[in-house]
Amino acid sequence: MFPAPIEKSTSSVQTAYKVALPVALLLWLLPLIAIFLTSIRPAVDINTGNVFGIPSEFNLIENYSAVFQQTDAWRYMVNTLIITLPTMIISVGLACLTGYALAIYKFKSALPIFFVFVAGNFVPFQILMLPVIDLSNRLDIYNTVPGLVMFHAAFQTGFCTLFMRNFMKALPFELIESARIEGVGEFRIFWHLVLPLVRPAIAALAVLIFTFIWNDFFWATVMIQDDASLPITVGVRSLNGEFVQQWQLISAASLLAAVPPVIMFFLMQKHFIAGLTLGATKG
Amino acid sequence: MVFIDPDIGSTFSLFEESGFFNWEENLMYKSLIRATTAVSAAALLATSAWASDLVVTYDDLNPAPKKAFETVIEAFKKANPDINVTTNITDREAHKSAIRNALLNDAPDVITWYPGNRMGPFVDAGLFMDISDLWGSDPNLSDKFNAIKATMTRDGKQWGVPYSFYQWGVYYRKDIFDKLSLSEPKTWADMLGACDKMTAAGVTPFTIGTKYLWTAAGVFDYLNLRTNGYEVHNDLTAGKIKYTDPRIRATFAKWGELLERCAPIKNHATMSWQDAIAPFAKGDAAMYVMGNFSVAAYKDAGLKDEQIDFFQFPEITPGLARAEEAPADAFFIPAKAKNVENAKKFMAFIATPKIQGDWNKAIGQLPPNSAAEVNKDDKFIVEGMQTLSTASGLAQFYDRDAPAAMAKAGMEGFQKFMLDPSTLEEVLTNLDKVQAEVY
Amino acid sequence: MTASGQPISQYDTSMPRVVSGAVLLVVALLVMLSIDVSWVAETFGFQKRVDARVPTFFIRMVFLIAVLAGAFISFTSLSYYKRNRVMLAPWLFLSIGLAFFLIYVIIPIFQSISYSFTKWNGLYDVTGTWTGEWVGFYNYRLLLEDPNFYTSLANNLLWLILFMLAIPIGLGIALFLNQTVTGIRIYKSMFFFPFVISQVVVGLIFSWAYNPEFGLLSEIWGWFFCEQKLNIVGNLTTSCSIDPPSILGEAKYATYGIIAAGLWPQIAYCMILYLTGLNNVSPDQVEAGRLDGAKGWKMLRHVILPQLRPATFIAIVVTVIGALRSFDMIATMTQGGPFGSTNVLAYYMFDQAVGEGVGRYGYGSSIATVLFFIMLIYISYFLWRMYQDEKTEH
Repeated sequence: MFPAPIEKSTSSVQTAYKVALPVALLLWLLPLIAIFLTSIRPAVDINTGNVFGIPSEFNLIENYSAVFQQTDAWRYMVNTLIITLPTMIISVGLACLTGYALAIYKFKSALPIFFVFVAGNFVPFQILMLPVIDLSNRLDIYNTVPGLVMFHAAFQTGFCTLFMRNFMKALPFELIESARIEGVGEFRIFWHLVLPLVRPAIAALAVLIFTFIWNDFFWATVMIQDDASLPITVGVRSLNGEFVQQWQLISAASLLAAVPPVIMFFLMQKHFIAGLTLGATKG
Repeated sequence: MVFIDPDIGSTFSLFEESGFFNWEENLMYKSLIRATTAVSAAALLATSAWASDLVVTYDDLNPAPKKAFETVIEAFKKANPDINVTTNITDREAHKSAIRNALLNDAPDVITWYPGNRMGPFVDAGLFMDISDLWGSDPNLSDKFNAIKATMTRDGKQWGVPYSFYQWGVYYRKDIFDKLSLSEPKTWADMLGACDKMTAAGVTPFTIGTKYLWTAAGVFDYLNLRTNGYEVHNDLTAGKIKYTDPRIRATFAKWGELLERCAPIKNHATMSWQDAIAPFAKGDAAMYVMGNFSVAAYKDAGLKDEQIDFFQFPEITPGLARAEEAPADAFFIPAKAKNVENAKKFMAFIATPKIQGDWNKAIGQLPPNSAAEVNKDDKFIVEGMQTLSTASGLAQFYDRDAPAAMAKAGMEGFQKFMLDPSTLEEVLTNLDKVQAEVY
Repeated sequence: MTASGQPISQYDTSMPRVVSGAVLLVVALLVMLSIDVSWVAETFGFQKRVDARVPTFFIRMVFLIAVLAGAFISFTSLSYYKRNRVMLAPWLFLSIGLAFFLIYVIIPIFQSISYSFTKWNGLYDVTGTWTGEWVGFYNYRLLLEDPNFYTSLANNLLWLILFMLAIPIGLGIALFLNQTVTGIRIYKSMFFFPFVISQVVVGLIFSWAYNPEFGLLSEIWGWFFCEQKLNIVGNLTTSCSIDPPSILGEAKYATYGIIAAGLWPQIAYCMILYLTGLNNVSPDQVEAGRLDGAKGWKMLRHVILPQLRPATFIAIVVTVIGALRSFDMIATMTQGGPFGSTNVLAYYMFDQAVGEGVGRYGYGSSIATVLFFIMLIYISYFLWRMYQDEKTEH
């Protein structure tokens, strides 16, 4: 283990470490803590510049309910969810298929096709923006939730394929081979043998895609103008214009927007980190 | 049945048993529905020969303008009981990009948009309908809209009907002026003198928020209109005058003076126009070059009617005919509109003095129809009407008169100059370059 | 029946299935293509054509699925398929995902590149005809003379360089946290926290922190340089001997301010990569290193870092991509301002193409193309590395 385990150090070093930990965390999360404190203050504290002091009143419930009452925050949340969930299902579902094809079958174009997915996954969004707008227009789904979902699902299929293919590559190939010899069909092998084995990968992808799409701002800005279909990221930014200088409300709304991915992260931490760090340990 | 291929057998039987062949039945059923609806639609059309349609798209969801618009629609319905009116009210920002699609694929019969150069791309692409005939024949449009007709004109034809406009000028804290015994400045020297007094008393003369750039364009427009007049404004925004022209340099020289002696608040580059109201409301700053829509926001910020007032931007070049900024909102008929006759009826309707007067009373703005009545109880409206009706020319606004790409670069240049006046040369040469490319 | 007892039809084309699949395919395809928004609006009584778009889409989707099912049934019933199952099956698995990806991601790249040779404001005329014109390399010549383009390019470079700080800082925090004291897992999660929050929210948090009037920074500044005074109308106002810096309002600080905000989640990401990497460092080698007398910096340099190479590689990749994709933060914090000084290619492209009323599709596309080719360098490097790995694995 590196660095040397702290238990082996002198007790004074150990104490220093135990003190340093919370201090470092406090500094690291300072912006977040300050914004949380702001979100429970009354307006008067903002104007008098009371940032770190004890709030003159605790307006936790008032401010957060004001966000829901005065704005469409709730609808934005629901919109985000109906953008996020279908995207998650479609892209992970398709990636199971493509990943399987690219990992299990040995054919000449497997690697080039895999590289197409990988490369596409890294391109800057701006190079896709105008043609995707044009395409959505032609499909009559520009400025609608399905229009955004279609793009997200297609784009995320790239990332999910990269992930799935590498994950499936590590499966015991002999298992599949022997199933084939026994005459089990290709689709059956996929369904009954491989899918159960890649369940952890599916879970990891699901949380990752959930977070990516929930936090997406660019595509939502580009693809949706209709206030009724806006997701929370764009909604929160437009609140910034609506709540002029009412930072207690802007902070409350911002923190609310962050809640679902945070919950997702804490519930599925293991999968989340496994997903993000794929490739960080081998290769 | 025999499973031929075990792995897809289940998939296949699933289709067969759950009625794969019923699909065709379903399809027949569908086409049956389709046929019947076609018939009933035809029948509907036949009966509605006398009850025709009108679809209107309006772009303001804010409660007061929305309600005012709905009132107008009700009045129109009453006047034309045979027209079946559908309205579609959208968010203003969303409308700015949605209109591109709407004009092509989903054209209503009447739609809101901005006059001046903003209507240019749509006029040029043939997406708006030429309504010069209406402007020629309608008693109101042909006679009572002279001040604003120029901004509705492109290629010698008229393309829309304005329903509202508003004045720009200087809004100020009357209580602060009184405390310093200042009066409304009439000339440039008055203005600079007043600023010196304010600065000495620890008051910042102007508030402004330039984060979204356009506020700076308002100041530039006024300096330019007062220094050089209406023609130069139009020639500049039409790309006929360079930014390095001595006349434009003179405008910037005045702006330099303004920045030096009438310094705006610090940090204006991080503020929106609403953010900039805070120092005004607090009493840290005393003047604001703004449009009349801002009055409501001052009152929301806690200022009373008697604390605020309005004066016309002071004279710079003595004897120069006074032109004003007066951005208008208008209705247009898309080239793909289905009910053109009704749309024209609607256009004529909203041009009448009664409707123009009532509508603008409701939204606190000014009617472009010179015969319409204004709200006499609102001092800002009264002053605004007086300001605009006596003006020698009406400018739309820098970012509506100049093409969008030019306007963007121009306003960035203005902001850069405001933050650091020593960059003037760099700004002007760059704007010339952009100008050469845009027009 | 054959001698082995298998049904003889094993490799026969099953005609009824092929035919019924094909019929389904053709019929569903025809229906799908014939359905349009106006018809749906009429049939289902939508007042506005716009409202009929989503239902139309779903109806079309249902028929698209029927088309695919028809194709699938037909194709898998062919004896040709059955004979070459192992060869053809991967293409069946790939077909939908690949087609989807090609349509929405790969083909648009080439379309964008082709737009970059046009002058177009994004409009079609009444007849649906494209209103642009071909202008060859005109847009690229404009780019070369556009100071905003150079500003954006320089800022992109700045982002790339400064974003790399996330890697050593992330490693530092990972080393700091790589202990087994009680509660360390919670600390690790909390340190990772900023990555989970959307960039828009991070942008808003930092906009507020930087606000010179009442933000976090001005507050701390105020302890040293400012006092409260009464102004002319008797309201409290702050006056400072030295004004607090307006980080987002001054061209010379603004980009650094945004990058600092962007680094916050990026450091968290690099940290988690290194924590995972450190977990897998071989204890034997560490012990061996210790026996050789290596410790501290020497140990890190010669024993640990080589083992962390995969983590470093991924960290570099995600950091480069993150730096070049920086858009959300800029859109939230400055919109490219003041006067375009915080533009990067990604934001400048957006602003030129679909920013308020600007509509320079051709010019925007040329900016996007430049950005794409910059990114392509990294993509090629990444693919080359992957290719090397693949080769050694087989």
